Amino acid sequence: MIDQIEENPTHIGHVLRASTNGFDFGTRGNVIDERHSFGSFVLAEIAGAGEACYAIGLIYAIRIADDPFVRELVMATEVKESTLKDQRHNRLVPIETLVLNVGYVYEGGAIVHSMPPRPPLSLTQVHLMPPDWVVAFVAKQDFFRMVLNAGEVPSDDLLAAAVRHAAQFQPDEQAQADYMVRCGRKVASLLTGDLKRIAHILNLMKA
Amino acid sequence: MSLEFTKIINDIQNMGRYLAYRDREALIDKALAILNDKGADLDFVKNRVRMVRESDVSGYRGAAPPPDAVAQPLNAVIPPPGGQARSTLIAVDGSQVYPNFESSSLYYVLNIGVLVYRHGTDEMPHQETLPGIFYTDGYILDETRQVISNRTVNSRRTVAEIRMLWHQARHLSREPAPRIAMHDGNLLKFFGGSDITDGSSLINEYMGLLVALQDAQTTLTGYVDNPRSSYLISLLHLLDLEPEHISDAMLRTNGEIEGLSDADVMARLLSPGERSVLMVQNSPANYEYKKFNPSHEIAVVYINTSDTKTPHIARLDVPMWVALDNDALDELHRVVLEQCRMQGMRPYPYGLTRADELAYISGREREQVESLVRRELIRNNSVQQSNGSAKANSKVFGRDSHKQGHRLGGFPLDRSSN
Repeated sequence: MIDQIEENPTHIGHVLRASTNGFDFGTRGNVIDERHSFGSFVLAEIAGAGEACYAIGLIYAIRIADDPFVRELVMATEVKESTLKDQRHNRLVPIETLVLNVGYVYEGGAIVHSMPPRPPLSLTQVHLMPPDWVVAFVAKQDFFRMVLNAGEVPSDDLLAAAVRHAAQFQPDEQAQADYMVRCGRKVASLLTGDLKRIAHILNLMKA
Repeated sequence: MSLEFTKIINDIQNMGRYLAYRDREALIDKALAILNDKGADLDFVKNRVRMVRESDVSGYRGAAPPPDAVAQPLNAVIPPPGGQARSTLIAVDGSQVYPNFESSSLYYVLNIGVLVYRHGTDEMPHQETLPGIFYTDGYILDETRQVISNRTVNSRRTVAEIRMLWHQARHLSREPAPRIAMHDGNLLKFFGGSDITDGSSLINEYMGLLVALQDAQTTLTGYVDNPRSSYLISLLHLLDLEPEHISDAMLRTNGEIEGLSDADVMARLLSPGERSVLMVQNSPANYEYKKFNPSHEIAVVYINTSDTKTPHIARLDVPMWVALDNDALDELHRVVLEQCRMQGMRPYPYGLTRADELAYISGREREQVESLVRRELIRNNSVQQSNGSAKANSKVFGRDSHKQGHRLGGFPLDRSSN
């Protein structure tokens, strides 16, 4: 599995800052695309592990910082194509993507739904999680609790987006339907007594 | 009962501002009246300038009309030329780290940034930087073995910027599009003064670069934002004097319109997008340029770069070879307006903003350079030089304020259970 990471062309950024709870990674503005989507699963190697170990996280926010220069440009009546290219490709405007840790995985393949033992170090490469890893990870829904209880993140929307993101990688329609039912039941069991929230999340999952 | 000053102090302050504004507006009215009356008569203007040039009056530093081929009445305005700009703009700017006695060793750093913007195409602009560190005695010490002044570093940076313009212009000379080389600042450089080391060789190189840029058929301009110059005001004062009153003493100030700048008048004269007529500065420095090569005398025009009712006046310096070429001047006019309008409410050439951004050496980068220099000195056993001053070292401890912790770090995620 680790080899897959090394060969995977899904390198999507480098860690800027991190804790065991989550990490932020930076990307240049010109390379942001569908891989940097809210609710996507990402991986970053954990510092100092004896055997290779990766933190598994969910993208919960993407921030494009402005600067005084950009603020001036948006006031112009017209932004020329050359200027757009210059701003997006030449200028080093980083995009910050924020990630919530929901688990980690060892080289041997053991998956743990818990906070990683250590955070990834600054400048560690961040990868999009391969589809078969996503399927393996969501086979259990223990990480749902971590998402629902996370502070400072839009938990309900994030959980629904993660469920939808993982659903597309299920092998067939029947597996996808079964998976969605399992996820719905898990949400219902975790939020017993809060019917409005359950209904809200289930609606978001279906969207 | 005595007057309660606290209750009228704000009104007095407002009154001061109002009177200053009113008086300034009256001065501008006066200047515009001279401009429209006497400045409209080009022969009268030429005669007056001839009077101060041919007499023993030597203190006149105001504007003068350019050669007859391009001379126009002073109150004429040139509307924005139609059509789209098709030139390639080469914009350059520079930044520096001065020699510092508190650093581990004496050196200075120059960083030149350039942006090449092709008008009339959708091509991505080309950006480039040219950093350099200068540390040998030949660069750092003057002929008396003293450390060179900051003005010397500034002068060398200026020449490096023009050199970069020439390199880029030469590189682009095979392309069909006309080239405009834009420098941030005036073009009438003066590298004299006792505190500038090798000033004569710098001016010689600068003049050589002007020749090279002319040979490369490049429109060179110096862009001066928010100019404070008063060449035109001095000329208006001269025009307003009775002939018998023209003397060095009378020309030492601008008389009744003293305190105004050319931009004050231009802000009223020029509508959005318009430019003034060409003028040259009557000064010994410009005369030296003209003596070196008549094509290198520096002319100026003022331009209103705003596209709103609020004027924004800039000055464009151009060498005479550009001033005498109407097509080149029109294309420069177009490019400046297009560049300035890219930046919305603060009209300023986009290319210069980007070149400045590329060239800028931040405080953190200065520290990194110093750290790298110190490491190399230690590696090469120049320990006695690498210690730096205790003051400089101690500053480092208090300046590590930019680190940012991860925002989720302090918040346990699994705070509750269901």
